[in-house]
Amino acid sequence: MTDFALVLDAGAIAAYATGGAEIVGTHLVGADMIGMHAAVPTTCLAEAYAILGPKPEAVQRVRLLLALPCVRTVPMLPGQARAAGLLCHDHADLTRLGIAHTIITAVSSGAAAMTSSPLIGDYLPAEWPIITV
Amino acid sequence: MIGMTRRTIRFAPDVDARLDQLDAGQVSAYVTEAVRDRITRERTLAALAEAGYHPDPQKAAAAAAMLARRPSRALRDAAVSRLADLTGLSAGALRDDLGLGE
Repeated sequence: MTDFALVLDAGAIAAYATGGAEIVGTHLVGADMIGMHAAVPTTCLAEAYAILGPKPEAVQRVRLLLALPCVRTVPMLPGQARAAGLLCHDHADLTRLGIAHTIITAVSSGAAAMTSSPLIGDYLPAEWPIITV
Repeated sequence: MIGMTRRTIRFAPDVDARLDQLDAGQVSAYVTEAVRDRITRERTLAALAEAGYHPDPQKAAAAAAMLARRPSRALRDAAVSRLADLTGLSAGALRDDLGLGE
C-alpha cells in the first residue's frame, strides 16, 4: 500500500496548474524527502479540470504533476463512495464530492489535506494537519 | 555480480563512519539506495522546474518535517468518530468502508 503524506484536493491541483502555488511544489518535495507520496483523488482531478477548462498551459502542468515520481492518483473505492456520498447527502455545504474524497483519503491514510477550501476543517478534528493553498 | 560495475569513490568521515557500521555485503546496496533516492529527487525537481516551480530547499525541509509528524492513532480514531457522526454510519462500518480494519 502506498504511504501518503498528503492529499491534494481540486483547489490545490488547480492552484498548482495555474502556476502560482509554490506551496504545493514545496510540499511535494517535502513528501519526496521523507520517502512518501502525495495522493491525487480522481474526483479531485476531474473537478480540477472542470475548474481549469481547456487552457493548454494549465493542462500541461497537471500532466507534469501526475508524472512526478512522488504523486499517485487514487480512485474512489466502493466503500469510500458510500461514506463520501453520505457526507455530501447530509451536509448541504459539502457539495463537491472531491472534498469528501479528500477527507476520506486523508483519514484512510493518515495524511495531511492540502486544500483551498475552508470547509475541510469542519469535517476533521481541529488538530488534523491541513495545508491551505 | 552480473550487470554490476566496480568504482572507487571517496567518502567524508561522517559518511564513512556510517558505512563502517554496515556488514561488508550491505555497503553497495546502501549506497545504491541513497543514489536512487537522489535520482528520484532530481527527477521531481526537474519536473517541478518544467512546470515553473523552484521550491526553496529550506522550506521543502520544513515541509518534510511537518509531513513526517503523522496523525497519531488517537487523532485518527477521533477523525473516524467525527466522520461516523457526520455520515450516520457506525464507527465500525466506517472503518470497514475506509479499509481501516480494527
